[in-house]
Amino acid sequence: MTDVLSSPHLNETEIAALIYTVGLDRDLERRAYSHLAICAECTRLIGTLRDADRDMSSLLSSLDVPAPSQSADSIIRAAQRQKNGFAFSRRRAAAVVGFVIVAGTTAAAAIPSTPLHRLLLKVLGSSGGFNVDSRSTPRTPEPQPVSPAVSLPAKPGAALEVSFSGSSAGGTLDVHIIDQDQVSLSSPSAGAIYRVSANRIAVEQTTPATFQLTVPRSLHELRVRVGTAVVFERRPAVPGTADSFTIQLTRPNASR
Amino acid sequence: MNVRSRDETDETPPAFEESFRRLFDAQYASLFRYLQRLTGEPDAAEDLAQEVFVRLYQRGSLPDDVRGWMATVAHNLLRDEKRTGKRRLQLIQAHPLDLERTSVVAADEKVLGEERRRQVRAALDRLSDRDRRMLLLRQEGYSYREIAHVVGVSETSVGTLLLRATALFNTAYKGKKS
Repeated sequence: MTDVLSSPHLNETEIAALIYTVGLDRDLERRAYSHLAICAECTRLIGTLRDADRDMSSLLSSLDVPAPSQSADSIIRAAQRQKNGFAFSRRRAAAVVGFVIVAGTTAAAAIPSTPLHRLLLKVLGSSGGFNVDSRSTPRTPEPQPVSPAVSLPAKPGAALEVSFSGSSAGGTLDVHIIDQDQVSLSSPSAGAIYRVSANRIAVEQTTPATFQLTVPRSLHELRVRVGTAVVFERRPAVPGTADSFTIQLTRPNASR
Repeated sequence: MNVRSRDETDETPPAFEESFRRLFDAQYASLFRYLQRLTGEPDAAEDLAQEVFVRLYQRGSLPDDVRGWMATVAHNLLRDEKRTGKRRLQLIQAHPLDLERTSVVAADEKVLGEERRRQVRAALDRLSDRDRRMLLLRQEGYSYREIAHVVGVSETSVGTLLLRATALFNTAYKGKKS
């Protein structure tokens, strides 16, 4: 903290404290007032700035109109209507997609000239049944689906990839850097499925949305993908930059 | 395998609903005022404020920094709308407020008031988006920490940025006035 008595005048932080956060830092204020007692220039400046702040408050209040008379009940009803509508439409969409897949596959397999039909004949004909060779492809465990907000520990120096997919992948990702070894990802909107594996969070979106991501300052690298495109790739906490920033979840070649 | 969201599975806990109602009563007018000053459009501010509270209710729990969360969501909604040019759906039937809004201004002050509002609006428009939001959040009593979180600057720089934004606003207003 600057010693306000030994410096010629108050600095901006000290002046701001006397105007905007009165009462929050008693020590700073006591020292600042000691300086004001002997410095007419700073006293004048503080007076002018306080007047300017009051004037601005008054001017801004001239823009105001009465707030609409709204009740929490009407908001809750609207939220429930919206939620029910969303859940219904999602279930209906899933049912339609499921029906189309089953019907399409069945139809394709039933037509003798289709590749699917030939494949079925080949597989069934050669082995007398389906035979899956588990040695042919080493399997990476699929990330497991988890709840709509995820949180996981991160080792210092680790890398993290957050991948957004789905036909409606998009929106924004607000990144906040914290001084804890914990990664968390959440969104106010409910239309996303999260899957977590080591150092990776996969998000499947049904609609563009805003996400909040908190990452440890110690994170070595953050990579954000939208589909196959990498939209962000660097150490998130760079000295001299803000601890919060926003990443647009837009594919580089996407047209709007 | 799919995961059902809590929206589909959980009943809203009574404690949350009570907290939500208290928060709504305490913060709705402030959020509306902030958005109305920010956008200059009472109808848009009303829609946005409602949508923010709808999303907060659907979230099912109150975030730690609830005012910061609300301001951030509101700003994201506003940005999305500006980007897509899409008209918001009217979630709740609007109250017939237009007459009430105009009637609060006394007739003899109306002309002067309109001119001053136009100048104040023009001065606000001259500021950067960040400065504008900082000034308006500060007017609603947001702390340095909350402002820093919403706007994306460090907490220690908020005071200095507010001082400079205030100076820019006053200069812009005086410039418009003269």
